Amino acid sequence: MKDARDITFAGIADSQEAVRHLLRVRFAECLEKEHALGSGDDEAIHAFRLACKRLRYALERSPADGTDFKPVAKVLANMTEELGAAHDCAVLAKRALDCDAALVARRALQDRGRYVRRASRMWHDAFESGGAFETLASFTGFRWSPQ
Amino acid sequence: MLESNTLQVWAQTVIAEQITAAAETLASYCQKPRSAERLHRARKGLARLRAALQDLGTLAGATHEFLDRIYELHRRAGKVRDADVLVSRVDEYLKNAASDERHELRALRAALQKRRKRARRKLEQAVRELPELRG
Repeated sequence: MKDARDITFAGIADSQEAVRHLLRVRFAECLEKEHALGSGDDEAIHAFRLACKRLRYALERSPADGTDFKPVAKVLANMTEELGAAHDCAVLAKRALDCDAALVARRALQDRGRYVRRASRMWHDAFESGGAFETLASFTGFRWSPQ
Repeated sequence: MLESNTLQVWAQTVIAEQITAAAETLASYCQKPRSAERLHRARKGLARLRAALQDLGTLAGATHEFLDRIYELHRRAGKVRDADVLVSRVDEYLKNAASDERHELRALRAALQKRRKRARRKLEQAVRELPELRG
């Protein structure tokens, strides 16, 4: 989580506004890093996963008046679980190669690819019209074209 | 001035809740340090505390030293957790591995267990150095 963006709250008057600002910054971090899903770069995927976790934790401890963030948090939890398993497989493959266990490394990398593909589907589905991110986007002021 | 004080109190309250939650999970882990499940819960508690500090630490007036110590403890817990998870995955692979792969998996499992032992020792040391979270 080293690369978490520092957040300043200058000019913010109350906790509701602070929550909105915080979620906007953390959501932006995820959007900045989403390209990792198609990159095959384990470090970048790991950084994206950590950004999604930061957003999820912020959502879970930030009750916002009249806004239900549970569905978004649930999607992020499921997706980061898949990416966590992908990370475990990538680490296992590395450890396996260190021990000259090429068969295990190959199997772990195949599993890794499957977990990343599943996470990628979850992430993209959440952006569809009526998807889980609609509430968050509306709360934080993000807009995008329907897919 | 009043507004910024109110914001600071809010940030301090959020962080205090996370400290309490993390301390509870850590105390539970300390009672049974061989439990993978308790370690997992403690690590999750530390991750949430760390995220709260990253989000609101400056606003709340938390020190960098405290954030660094939480970061270190979370990292150490992560090393043990990673080893637990990898050993479990190797065990899963062993269930349907052919003979060549089984040979590799056994060697890898032994190496991972050694890593886990080392990581546990370092985690226990890190926990001892953070008495305010041990409950």
